[in-house]
Amino acid sequence: MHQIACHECDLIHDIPPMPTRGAACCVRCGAVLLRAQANSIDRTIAWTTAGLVLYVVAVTFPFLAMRSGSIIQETALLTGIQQLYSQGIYMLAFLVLLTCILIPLGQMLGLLYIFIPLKLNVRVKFAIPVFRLFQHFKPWSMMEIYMLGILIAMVKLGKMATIVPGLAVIAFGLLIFVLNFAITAVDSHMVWERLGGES
Amino acid sequence: MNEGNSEMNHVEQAPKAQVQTKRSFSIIWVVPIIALLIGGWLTFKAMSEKGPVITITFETADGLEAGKTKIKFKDVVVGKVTAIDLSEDRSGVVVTVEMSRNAEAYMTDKTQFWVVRARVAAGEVSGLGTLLSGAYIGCNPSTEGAKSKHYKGLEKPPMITVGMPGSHYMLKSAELGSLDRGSPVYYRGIKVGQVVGYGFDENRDGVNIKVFVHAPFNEKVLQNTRFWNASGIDLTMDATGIKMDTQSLISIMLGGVAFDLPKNQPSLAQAEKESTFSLYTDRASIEEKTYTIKRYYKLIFDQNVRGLSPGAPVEMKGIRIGEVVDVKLEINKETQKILIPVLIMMEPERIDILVTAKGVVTNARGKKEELEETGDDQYDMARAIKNGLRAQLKTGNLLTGQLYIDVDIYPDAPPVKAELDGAYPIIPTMPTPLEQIADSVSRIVKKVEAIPFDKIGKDLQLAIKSLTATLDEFKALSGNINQEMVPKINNALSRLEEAMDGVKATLGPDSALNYNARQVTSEMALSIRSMRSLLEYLERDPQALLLGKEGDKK
Repeated sequence: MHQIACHECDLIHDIPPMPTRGAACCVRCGAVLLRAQANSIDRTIAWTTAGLVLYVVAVTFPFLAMRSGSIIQETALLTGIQQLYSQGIYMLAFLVLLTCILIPLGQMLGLLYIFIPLKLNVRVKFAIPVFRLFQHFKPWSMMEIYMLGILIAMVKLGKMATIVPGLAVIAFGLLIFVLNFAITAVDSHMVWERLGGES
Repeated sequence: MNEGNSEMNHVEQAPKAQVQTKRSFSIIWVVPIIALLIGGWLTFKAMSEKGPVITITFETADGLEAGKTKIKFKDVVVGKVTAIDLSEDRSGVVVTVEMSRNAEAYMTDKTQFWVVRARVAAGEVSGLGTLLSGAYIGCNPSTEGAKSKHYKGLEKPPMITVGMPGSHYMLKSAELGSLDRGSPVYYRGIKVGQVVGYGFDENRDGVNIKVFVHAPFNEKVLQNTRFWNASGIDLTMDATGIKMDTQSLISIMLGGVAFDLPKNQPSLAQAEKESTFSLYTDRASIEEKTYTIKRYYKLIFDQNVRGLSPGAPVEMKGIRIGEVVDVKLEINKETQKILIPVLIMMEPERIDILVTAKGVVTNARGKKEELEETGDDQYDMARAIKNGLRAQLKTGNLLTGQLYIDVDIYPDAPPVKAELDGAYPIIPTMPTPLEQIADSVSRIVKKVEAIPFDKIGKDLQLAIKSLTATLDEFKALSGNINQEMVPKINNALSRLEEAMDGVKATLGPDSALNYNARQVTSEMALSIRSMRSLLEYLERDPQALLLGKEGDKK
């Protein structure tokens, strides 16, 4: 039996043992205090694995092909960053690389690093700092913004060139959702409980 | 109550949170499995779509870019350049190409690759799109031949891509001339194909030119069709004058090949694909070779043959019957006589010889065998010579000085015995008309020389002397005239002057006669005036004649 403060009204609650698939709500303001995620570990691992597969597809397959007349420019995710870099916009290239490539990958790998041992009831080193980092970097994953940028570019450039979306675009779009599912599937309360309880 | 209670007691006893139940979602593992399946399938597809990897060597990688340059056939991408390296001996570049999966079938050693760049040549502009998009590698796939992984790229694009209807033909020629890849092939002035390639024959003695004729015009290439080089401007200068022949403006610049049937030739069956023809040098030469029988004769001239060259026509009454084959110079060492033997070739088939034998008239062709068997060809020639057959050098063209040989029958020519010079019968020659003129001029000169100008000169001198004497006498006579006649004439003249003075005094302006005459004249004028006024009055008033002046009445 432990207590939790409502993040809306700071009312301290005692959390009763939760049934699976249940949500604890604040008695004063009705905010959801925590959700007892059914199979949180399984679901996180599942979504993250799916995300990794999509990630690999998104990175390796051709992303967009722009065709204007007989000029065909085919790009992949990484070549776009390479283009930015070669044009001398180092900061932007670095930012895109970080927010769209490295952080999502780090997030997924981190989740797997924490959840697979949890699933298997094994203890690993640095689980707590890794999870803290994961929580910390959550807002830095900006694949949605990247996707938005691509959509805008497709609409704007549509008049100048024919844009042929590649497989990677679909994979990338799916990855955004899958990664979100994975992150929402994370029952951080439970994770802290288990990591903290065991430490 | 309840609310206050909970608020007050929240430290010791927090209320129990509400618990909501939610449906289970245990099939969550399907998600990564689907993702894995799709990912796996995509990867498998990508791997299996990877076609054969081949290498092509080029001289230069100009315009090629690894990862970007495409291999295209009919503008469809069939592969991609993945790497460009220098060849080991650095004489060229090795381009590694990843072909698409379905390219496996035509990865044979007959398949050709070349770099398509913007090209302005052969009367057409191609590959302009590459100016913007960069070069690409064209390919001409062929399923025949052995499988291959390494290719030698062509530096120039081949002209025909597989699958165009038409036929290829091989033309043999002594030299390429102005032909080039892409030079047009004409049939009656319309472009029906092009030169697709050329190269030496096996011995490198001649040139094989490969042409492609589009369907359906390849039906017009028959077994007896002749191809000729229609390149540029065909300027021929011979005894018939200057002749210019061209096919089209493009062929002037690029050269070209034309084909047609020789005149008066029956149409044979269509020629097989890939058949070999010989390439004639010009249009005229395709017609000439139709005469198979050739007779050689020798003419011996002792005059200047400047302007007579091999190939000059031999004509009879202005119709070509053969040509000059060879012109030589011979000097007889003993007699120091210079002779010019000229070998000519006559084609008897050009002449329809009418032979009347037992009432049957046949032409040369019909009589040919018999002539050759009995050998009375020579007999005929001997008879013709006896009848006055003579050869003459004549000027074909005054402008160029080209000579031709005229063969004709001169019945009053001095008789000559028919001879043989080696294997060739000799046709006797006659001097040129110009030479005849020169002869007569020299005869005239001789006659002029015979005139005794010395004697004439002496006589003339004598005559001049007597003429001088006559003139002297005449001079003496005129001296007499001066002394005696002139004073008398002067006297007569002065008397005449005196007489004239008298006349002047009588008739001059101050003479009485003149004065009187003036007086009379003025009086006459007065009377005429009064007469006129009288007449005017009478005209106005005729009754005055009877009644008198009106004024008088009053």
